[in-house]
Amino acid sequence: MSRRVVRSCAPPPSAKTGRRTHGASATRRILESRRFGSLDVSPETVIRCPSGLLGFEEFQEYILVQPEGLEPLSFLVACENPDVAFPVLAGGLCQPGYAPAIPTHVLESLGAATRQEVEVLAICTMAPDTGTLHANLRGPVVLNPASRLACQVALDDGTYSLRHLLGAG
Amino acid sequence: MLVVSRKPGERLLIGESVEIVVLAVRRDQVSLGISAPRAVPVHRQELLERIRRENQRAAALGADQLQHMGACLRSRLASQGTAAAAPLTAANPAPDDSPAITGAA
Repeated sequence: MSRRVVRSCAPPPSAKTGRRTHGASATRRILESRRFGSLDVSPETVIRCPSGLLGFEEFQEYILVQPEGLEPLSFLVACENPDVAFPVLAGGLCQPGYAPAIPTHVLESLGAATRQEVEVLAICTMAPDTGTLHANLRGPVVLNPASRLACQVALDDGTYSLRHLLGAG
Repeated sequence: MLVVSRKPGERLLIGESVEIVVLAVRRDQVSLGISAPRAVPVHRQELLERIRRENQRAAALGADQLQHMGACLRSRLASQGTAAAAPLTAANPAPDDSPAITGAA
């Protein structure tokens, strides 16, 4: 898998501990990921996810990368632990017309005034036994590209599937 | 844990803004009505648990599995005539006034 560049920047700041920081770190840094190699992170590309993802609440900063050879998947890589990465697809690629209702208070928390300002990403998985691919359309990650804030939303209404079938392996 | 016995029609107040009313009790099922501010998410616990498990499965995928997924998705998109490297900004249109789905009515 190809490396995503650049070792010529300042070394990463000393390891951050636990709790949320208000805003991304101010300097560029290099994250070393076993899966994706060196990832060059500038502050403006960091996505803050103050509530974390379910089960991964300790990680509140992510970057979105699209490694060569794995298209069309992109990955939300946890800055605090770059070995933690979630494959994602745009929800509309998983299911045409995918349009979950995003609660107003969620939009507000992301700094978005309207639904059109946010992107909705589905985390993808593969069943190890059958090799079938699924996308979680019931718990999408909602991202406001302008504010670079994101959160995972649990959709209670059951319209969309937790394991939407993308295809058989 | 606080244990409270309630009859249908009786209420519980949590803080100043959350109210729970027992609507009905049938056999082994209780119907509850919950009033809470929109900013207070109310979820079935098992849904959050299922999403948590899906997240953990996704994060545990190995390099070979991810390669396989990418290849499968590329061929699927190609067969649909969609650009394989479709940007993440693919439109997800939805009406502005979508009703809230978390937070109780």
